[in-house]
Amino acid sequence: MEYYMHDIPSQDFLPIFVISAWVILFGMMYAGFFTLVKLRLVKKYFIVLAYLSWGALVACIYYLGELLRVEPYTQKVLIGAMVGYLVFPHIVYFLLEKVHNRFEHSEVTS
Amino acid sequence: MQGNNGQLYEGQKLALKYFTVAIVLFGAQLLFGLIAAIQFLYPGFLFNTLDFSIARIVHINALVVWLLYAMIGAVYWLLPDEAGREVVGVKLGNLAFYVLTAAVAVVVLVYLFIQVGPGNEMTTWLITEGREYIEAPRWADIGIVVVVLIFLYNVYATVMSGKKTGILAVLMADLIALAGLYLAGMFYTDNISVDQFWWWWVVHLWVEATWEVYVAAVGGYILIKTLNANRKVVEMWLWIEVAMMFGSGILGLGHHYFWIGTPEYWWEIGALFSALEPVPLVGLFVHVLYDWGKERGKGNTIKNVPAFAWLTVETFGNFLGAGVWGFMHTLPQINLYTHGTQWPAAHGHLAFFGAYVAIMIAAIYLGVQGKAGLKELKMTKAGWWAITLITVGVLLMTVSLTLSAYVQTMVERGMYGGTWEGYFVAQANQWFVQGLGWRLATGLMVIAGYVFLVYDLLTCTKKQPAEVYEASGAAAAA
Repeated sequence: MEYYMHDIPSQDFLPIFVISAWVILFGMMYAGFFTLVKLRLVKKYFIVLAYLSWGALVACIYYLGELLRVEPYTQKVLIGAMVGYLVFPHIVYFLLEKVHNRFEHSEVTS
Repeated sequence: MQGNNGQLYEGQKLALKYFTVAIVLFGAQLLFGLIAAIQFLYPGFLFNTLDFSIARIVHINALVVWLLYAMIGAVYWLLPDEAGREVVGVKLGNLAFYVLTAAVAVVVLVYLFIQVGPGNEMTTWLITEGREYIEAPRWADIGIVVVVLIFLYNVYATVMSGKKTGILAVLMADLIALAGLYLAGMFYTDNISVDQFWWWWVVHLWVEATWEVYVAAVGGYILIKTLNANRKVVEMWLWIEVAMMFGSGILGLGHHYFWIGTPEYWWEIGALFSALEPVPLVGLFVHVLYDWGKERGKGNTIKNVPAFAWLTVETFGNFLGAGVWGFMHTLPQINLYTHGTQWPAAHGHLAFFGAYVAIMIAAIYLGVQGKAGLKELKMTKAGWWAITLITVGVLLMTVSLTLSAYVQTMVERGMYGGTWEGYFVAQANQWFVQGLGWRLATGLMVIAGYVFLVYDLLTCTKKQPAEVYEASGAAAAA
């Protein structure tokens, strides 16, 4: 694949730093709220905050890609990673639930 | 946890020796890190006595060596417990321990007092190979290989003649890869690109593949020991984690091949697989918390509170330090500006601490509990101060380094185009210097936490509430 690196104008650095920080914060908020809801440590409706955080995360990642002037391939990788990030905790939780249900009370633990 | 009549297995006694040296080397790592941090701000400090390059060598090599000590120790601790029999070849294991410790002592003395060589073949053999993190001279390399072969023999021979659990199966496969990769950093090449190409096989495929799998296995064991988590659940999940870590970690190696003269297709490979690397860490994070939530409601008490607390720090720290801080500068478009700045330093500090240091301290607490023969171990005040000061200290250190990294990236790379002049202008920038000042302050905080940690490891079994001793006494009588 032909591939070029573009220089980033110095006036774009600050927006990149700020948006990167938001990426981290929204990413943590999604994982955090999702886990808290599944552990029943907060009310169920907080899951809405988890998905809103994920939506904001995708918007930030897309905008970050634009600021970095990434080529279409990397933009696809970034959005693909975000879809993975959305689905993954669900898969983990689903697997854990299934495994627990399968083995619960089935043997004495060590 | 123990052999017959509450006695420790010989293998577990050997583990305690490894843990002791590990904690001493941890102190050495922090001390030389402190010296290097002071030299960033006051370049004249110990100039021509212990230059920055030497302080840094000892800082990062002590880190790797103490973690390896703790890792070997943790395996010797869980091996007889899991396999249900004494470690085969434990005498040989003891001999290997003393040989390794003597070799490490000699290597450190050479680093401190000889420091540099003439840069010929003799230097590689006797002083240093000059490869970051694995700087041991070749004679020590060969010694390490022999010691590790003995260790592998002990693990395999013990499992083959004992019980075979899922945790041990994962560990057996992983330790072969972990040991084998070390060989990639042992031969000499006079081409820096080729040298870096192989060197990353050791460093990356250790910390982002085989060590992570090791952590998943030992973390599973700690979950079983501290929470009474269901073994089948833990082991089933372990296989999934292993597959994901290897799946993303092996080709994630690409992010080290962006700028060292390797072909450009590594940009795409590195971008894709590096972006996937945080994924299994989210899994580890959710898994540990989920198990805790599941087991909590059953009236189970946590059998070793400090170990579980450090395991929790590990899941958060691994996700943040290795996952988030790694992802921050792993895309080639970003890495073009950030590589070689304080950015990787920020990531490295939190990733090593979060992914490895925390879980090794958890394993050491299991050893402390087992040595005292206590059924339960509660958190003491000193233990609480240790975990708080060290964890908050490293987190703040990472934030400080990240702020310095922002400035350095902006000034040195963005404004000056990565020139030599840009390097010095960025180093003198007041915000950059302030960040490093905060790093020094947080370093002192971590050292204060280390003092509490050592004190707690030595005294926590004597400072437990009365019910702990009563429960342990009743268990021993039964």
